[in-house]
Amino acid sequence: MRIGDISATDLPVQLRSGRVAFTIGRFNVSIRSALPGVAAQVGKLYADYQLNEPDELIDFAVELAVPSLLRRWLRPQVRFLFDGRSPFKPLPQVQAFAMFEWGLNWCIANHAHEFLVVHAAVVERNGRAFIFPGMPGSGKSTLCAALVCRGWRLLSDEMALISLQDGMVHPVPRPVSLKNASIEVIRKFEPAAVFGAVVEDTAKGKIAHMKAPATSVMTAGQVAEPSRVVFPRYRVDAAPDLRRLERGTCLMQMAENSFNYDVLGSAGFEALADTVERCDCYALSYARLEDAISLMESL
Amino acid sequence: MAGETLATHPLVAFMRDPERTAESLDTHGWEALLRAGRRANLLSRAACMAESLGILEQVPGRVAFHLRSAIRVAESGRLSTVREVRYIEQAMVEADVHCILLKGAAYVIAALDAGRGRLLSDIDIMVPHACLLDAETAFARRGWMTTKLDAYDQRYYRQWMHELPPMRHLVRGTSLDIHHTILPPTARLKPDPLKLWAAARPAAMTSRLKVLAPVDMILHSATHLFHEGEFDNGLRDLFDMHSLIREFSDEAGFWTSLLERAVELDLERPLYYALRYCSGIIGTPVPEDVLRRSEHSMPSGAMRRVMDGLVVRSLGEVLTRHRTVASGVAQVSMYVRSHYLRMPARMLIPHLLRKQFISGR
Repeated sequence: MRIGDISATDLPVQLRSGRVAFTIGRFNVSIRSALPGVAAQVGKLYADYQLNEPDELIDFAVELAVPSLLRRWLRPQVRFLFDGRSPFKPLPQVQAFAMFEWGLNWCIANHAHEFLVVHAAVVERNGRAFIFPGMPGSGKSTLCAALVCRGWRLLSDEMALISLQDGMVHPVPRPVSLKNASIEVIRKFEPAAVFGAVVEDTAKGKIAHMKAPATSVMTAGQVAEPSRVVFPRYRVDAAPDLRRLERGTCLMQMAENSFNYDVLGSAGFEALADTVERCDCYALSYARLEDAISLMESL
Repeated sequence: MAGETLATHPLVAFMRDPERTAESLDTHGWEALLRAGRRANLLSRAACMAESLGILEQVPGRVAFHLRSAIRVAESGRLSTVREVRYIEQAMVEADVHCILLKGAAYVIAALDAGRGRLLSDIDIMVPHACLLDAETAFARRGWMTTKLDAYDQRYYRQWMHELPPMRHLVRGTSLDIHHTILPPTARLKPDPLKLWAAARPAAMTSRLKVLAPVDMILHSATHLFHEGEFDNGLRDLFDMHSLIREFSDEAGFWTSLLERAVELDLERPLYYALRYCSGIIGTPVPEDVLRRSEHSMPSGAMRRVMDGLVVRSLGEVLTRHRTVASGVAQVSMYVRSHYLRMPARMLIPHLLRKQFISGR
């Protein structure tokens, strides 16, 4: 049974009781919230995710709660709770769903040290995973969304989970987070794409989440071999340009973009060296998505 | 004592007897263990125990994933503690000051069981009172800056406390607490730091640094938990003492010297609490006659019941999921109590009012 099989009237009730638990790749996640906005977004963007059986172990149990009675009325806020503890400051309540996404990123990055976790978008085609590491503003999520709209499989728009055991990339496909102008860009690029609510004035500006393709969600159990590392760079007036990057440079830049490189120590270095060894590494500059996509298809 | 429900909690049961508990836990039990372990800062301890007993393979895969992850956190924490302690040693050599590592850092550096998977939020050290200024200067020269710059806090620490305001390293962001004794001079109990120095031993990896004698480690941990600190890490601290006791109690004469040392250092009351709650809540093996002898210094019946209630509720909040009004009250009561024990009421009340309404806790 999938989240989409729960009726629109039942979903808020089940979310309130904390019974909604589902699988994202190798993780089981449960979410509890009494906020109607959260129920609507979860129902829309997580419809394709398989619900857990009652006896499955939940890796991350999270809750979106209202901090206090007063905050229900006066500039309403929302608090993210993980195992009943709150790792962040509360946010305005309209950002509740975004907070779930950010909070879950935090949970994975801080508790999944059996992986090297690199801040990157990952997509796959023909069994080959493309890793797009990137600082905010590099356009990795936009490029990722566009490729996914053209049929590439989404592994993640936020983190590459590289197994320390075998070096394979493990998928955690979730809604793709788009910011500011990218939202309109992708809407125009793919009018059929499904979006959640647009939220203004977050710490990252205006954001909206694009639903992950059902096929990516359903095949999230299939790991992928890392094959290309591409550092994207969006600039308004850039001519499309793709050039090889030294493996050493690539390794250093990936280390900088890694969430848990310091925790893993030498195991992290080895995993990264192994990844870079398996991959061809590139730097990509682009202004138009079509150019970037055809360059990626040429690889 | 109402500690029986705590004793059967999967995390507590596992920490007490990993092999037997691992065989009996179902999915919900494992989940409770993982969640409480994260809340109590004990998951890395539990994971390292499972690893050293070789039972990681028998644990369900999804659980083993989180335990292995926690072991990596523990190892990276251990390495950063070792590194930090080397920096501390360099500063102390330069200042020609002797220094005792306290609590977590001591357990890690002395390679004790209690240090396996023990996560540290800061490093605590003790230097002789006469050397405080030299030590502080040496640390400042090497990049540690004093925090709590507010004039009230500075004066509060320097005039009334047994430690300097915490220092933080500018580049590494690590925290350092420099003590000159183990309880504030204003506290009712008066342990003599010179006695601690006389019994201290060289720490494994260094010449300049020392650790407390085994019985003093236990007494200090007890004092810290029941007379000084907040109770946030109460369960972790109880397990520190549990591991220390288990590791040291094989030595002949251990129990007698622990009891005698408590008298010598004026720390019988904290030892009484430590033995009561370690044995009563987490099942630390303490001989009957030792428990009885420690009861000489127990508080009156009413006071004992109040304390039992506070401890059980505070720990219960960490183990189970949610804060209740009662557990919230218990946490605040423990905080107020710890202050009450370290300063007379005429100082305490203005201090707590100021902390509540002016600078925040």
